[in-house]
Amino acid sequence: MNVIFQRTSEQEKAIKSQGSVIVKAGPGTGKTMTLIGRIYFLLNDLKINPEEILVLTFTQKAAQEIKERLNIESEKSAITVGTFHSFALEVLLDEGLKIKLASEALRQKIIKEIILEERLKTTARSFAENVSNFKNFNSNSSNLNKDILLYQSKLERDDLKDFDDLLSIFHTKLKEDLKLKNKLQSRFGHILIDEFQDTNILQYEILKQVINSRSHLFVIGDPNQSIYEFRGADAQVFSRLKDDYSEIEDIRLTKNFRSCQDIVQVSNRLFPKSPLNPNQTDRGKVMLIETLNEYTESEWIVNLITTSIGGLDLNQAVSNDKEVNFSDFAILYRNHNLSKILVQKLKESGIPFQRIGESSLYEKKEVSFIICVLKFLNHQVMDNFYLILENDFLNLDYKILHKVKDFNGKKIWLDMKSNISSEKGFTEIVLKLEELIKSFKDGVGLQQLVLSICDKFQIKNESTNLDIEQFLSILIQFGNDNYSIDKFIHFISWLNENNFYDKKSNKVVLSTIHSAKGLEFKYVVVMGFEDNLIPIIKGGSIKEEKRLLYVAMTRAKNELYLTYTRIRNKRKTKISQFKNIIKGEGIVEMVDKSLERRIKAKEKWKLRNSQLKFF
Amino acid sequence: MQLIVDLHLHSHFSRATSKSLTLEGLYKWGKIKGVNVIGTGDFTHPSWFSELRDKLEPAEPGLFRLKPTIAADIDKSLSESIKKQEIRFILTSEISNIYSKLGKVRKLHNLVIAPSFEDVSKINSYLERIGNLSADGRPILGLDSKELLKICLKINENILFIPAHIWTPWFAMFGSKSGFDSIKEAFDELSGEIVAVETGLSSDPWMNWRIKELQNIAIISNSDAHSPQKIGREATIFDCPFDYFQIISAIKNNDERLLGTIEFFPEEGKYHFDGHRICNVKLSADETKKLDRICPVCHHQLTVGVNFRVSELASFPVGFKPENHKKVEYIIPLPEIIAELKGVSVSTKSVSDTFIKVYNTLGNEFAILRNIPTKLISEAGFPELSLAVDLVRRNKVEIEPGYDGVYGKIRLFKDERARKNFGGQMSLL
Ligand SMILES: [Zn+2]
Ligand SMILES: [Zn+2]
Repeated sequence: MNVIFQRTSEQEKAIKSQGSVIVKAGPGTGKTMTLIGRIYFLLNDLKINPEEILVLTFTQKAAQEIKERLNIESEKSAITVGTFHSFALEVLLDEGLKIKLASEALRQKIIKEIILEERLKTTARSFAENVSNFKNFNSNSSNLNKDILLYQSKLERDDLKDFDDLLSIFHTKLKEDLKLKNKLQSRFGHILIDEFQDTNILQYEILKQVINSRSHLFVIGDPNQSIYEFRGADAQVFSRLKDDYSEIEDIRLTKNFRSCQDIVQVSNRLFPKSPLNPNQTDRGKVMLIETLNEYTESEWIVNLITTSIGGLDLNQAVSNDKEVNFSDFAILYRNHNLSKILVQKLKESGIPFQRIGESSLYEKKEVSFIICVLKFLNHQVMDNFYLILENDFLNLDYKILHKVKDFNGKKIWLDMKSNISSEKGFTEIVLKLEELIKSFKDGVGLQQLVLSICDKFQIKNESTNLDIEQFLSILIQFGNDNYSIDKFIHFISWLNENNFYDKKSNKVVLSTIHSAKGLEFKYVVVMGFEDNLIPIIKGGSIKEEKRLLYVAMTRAKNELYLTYTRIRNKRKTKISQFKNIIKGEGIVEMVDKSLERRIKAKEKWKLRNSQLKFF
Repeated sequence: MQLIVDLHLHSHFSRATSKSLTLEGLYKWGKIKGVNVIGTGDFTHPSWFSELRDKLEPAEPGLFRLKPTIAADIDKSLSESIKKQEIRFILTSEISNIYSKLGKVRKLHNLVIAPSFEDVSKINSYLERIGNLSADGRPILGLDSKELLKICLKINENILFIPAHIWTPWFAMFGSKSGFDSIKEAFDELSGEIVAVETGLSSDPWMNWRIKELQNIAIISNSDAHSPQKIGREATIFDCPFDYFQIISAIKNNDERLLGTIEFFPEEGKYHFDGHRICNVKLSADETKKLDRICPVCHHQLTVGVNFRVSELASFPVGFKPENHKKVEYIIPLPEIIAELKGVSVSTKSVSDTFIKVYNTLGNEFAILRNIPTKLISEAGFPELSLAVDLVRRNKVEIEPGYDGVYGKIRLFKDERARKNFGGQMSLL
């Protein structure tokens, strides 16, 4: 977000609101700034005791960012800033409840196991979504099936809770424990919620429990950017809140500081009832590009970057007096499969790029396993040991995990290993780790350590070689001294928190639309503007698909390109049905030259054929 | 010991390069040409780097030689006259830095020279995070040149960083299209770490000496070869033993160990002078300035060349020579001399046959062009060649500067008559 020196009257009104307020903040309207402004207003102008302020976010990263922006000093740190989950956990632990949370890795493992055991024809992801949906929409027991029960029993076996359980326990507790409810209600006079559109029903019900008639509620978000319905987010939550609390004030932030005029004008057509006004005076550019197939589409994108930057070698050189960097470009797509050809073409061109989100190198199974082992070596505690055992790479028999976990009480790795009976597979791992610990203690350097991990666990093979090589070369920058591992682990957790997006490096960004939420770029290309991609018609909600397109388009500051092909994966495609909504002034349609050539050649050929028929 | 050093060239892993740009090819042509120390080029490329580690072995400090078994194989095919010369390799790479600074896209090519495989590994690992090293032997990085310099300095102070072919319009530090107006502008507080610049084919030391910032730093020349036949077409001459650290310190101190450079005539470049090809207008920098860059024929902006760019940044007049200046030797490649004597194209078989005959008889190309007394050349059976070499050594050549995309012409003879009058029948060639 650019620095906004002057607040708009809408922002001002939201920040200084006396009662409860719903702030609908469209893309680029200064949402975070307004939220921060509100907190400062409460503290500095209304002199609210920071103890009374609760700020709820949807990701740890967002919570962290708010803390950083507030530049929290000791006095202000009395503000509670966290996610719904961290808030729930904190309160429940405070109340003396013992809750052990299952790690995400373990949860994945359990799910995969059920899929395998029960021979289910579903993906781990959709299974997880089902479980989550079931738990969040508790009331609807028709969704309950034996698989979910199985999942639950496996969790309970180890006395574990998942994140959804955490919220429902909290919800039940609030409903039953009047004292606790009153305590929270009287403590938090001011509750602020960021990204309110991501709230699910259960979270909303929790919210209702912690507010009373004296509470001041400040929720901010954009219903048009709700793209997590599949995770249970409730796009209707804004109107739900309005229905339940009719006195709540409605404020819309309508000035878009981010995007040039045409981009705002065209994306407004998706939601004509809540239009934004561009603050920028430049018109910018919105283009719709038709191309032949996925290859020509990727070539077109590579060419766009190349010419914008003014050529990469002598043959393409053109003058460029604008400030353009590789990192000013983002290529967005519906799913990662779509980016395969593009990645290939970018590699050929030599243009530096980074894939952010779930397709990063560190998310690869083998690399993530090595990182787990490094974490364990650096800090030899049971929790880190579990991380190794739970890692997908080992594909360990679940029963072994149970045996290890059954060994309660003694939390020390050293005690544990001498007490576990020789379980097949397990002993082997322990022995390997033993040797690695020895090397680590002998001061073997980071890279060498990684090489021996690869060696011992037979990680390197033809298909993983390139990843491992790349990983090793990245490690070199952390040196080979006593602090190397520590430095590296810090780096990884930093990247992880940032969705594997290294903002400082000057590279073109490749991302799914989902992962690009909240980011902004001068030039944005949205690939695959076709039916079945944007929108995904089967099984999807067309409304959610529209919001997804809205999120994609509104990432662009100066230029926005939507590309579509005639043929993809050897099948004929159809341009996105959303074209009918966004078409009109401000959008320029263009046919890719490669397609033009192709059409001309075809016409020529047809003409010749038809002429031949006369003979 | 006099060494002819060529630090900037490319492997077959770079775009638009010859397939024969292998270590073997470089070794062989190094002996034919008479280059003593040859840059490996492209050390950032993973496959080339692993080839370097496979086929090279450490020789003198910081330098490498081809493994004896491989070298022996090549030597078998070479004549006695060129076989004996030792060839050393030095680890080098060129990087294309593309980034925005001070409101403009900047594209600079920079040369990096390193003393060991370990240092190269470290450089590569840094750069791996920044760009895609396997796409091209000369990788593109969205990294400020200054940051690249910082990385090099951080890894090892003996790594040398040199802005490459600094006057080419599109990809160079002083390039008119996407360069800077000063070293200071490009490297800020690290300007002092720029100890040398590369002339490139489009400039010679004389042009560079006019620039204030270049008065005290080393001016070096390299071939930027894209095929092994072209290595050493420009090069730097040192007076020092085979030793990376001596070569580097000669450059850093710009001292008497750096003897000078071997140069192309810069007028040969496509954009040396200013003008309009279609209007048939060709102008020197001074003339262009008088005309305010406007073409007298079509009244549009003239295409200005490298010489104009130099005069734009220059603090000193044409012909200015700093106190601590080096020797400048202009050459015309031997095959081109032969081609002109014969009056045929350089790519013909008759030229290459004669070229082989000449070096098999007399020794490597640089020896012929620079050292062997013309009397001996003549006595060996090449009297016309000896006369031609004498002309080149005395710079008595016909120069027609290039402009607006038209290559310049450097010739021994003004025209066909002059050629015919020169040495009779050319029969001996
Ligand atoms: Zn270059
Ligand atoms: Zn003209």
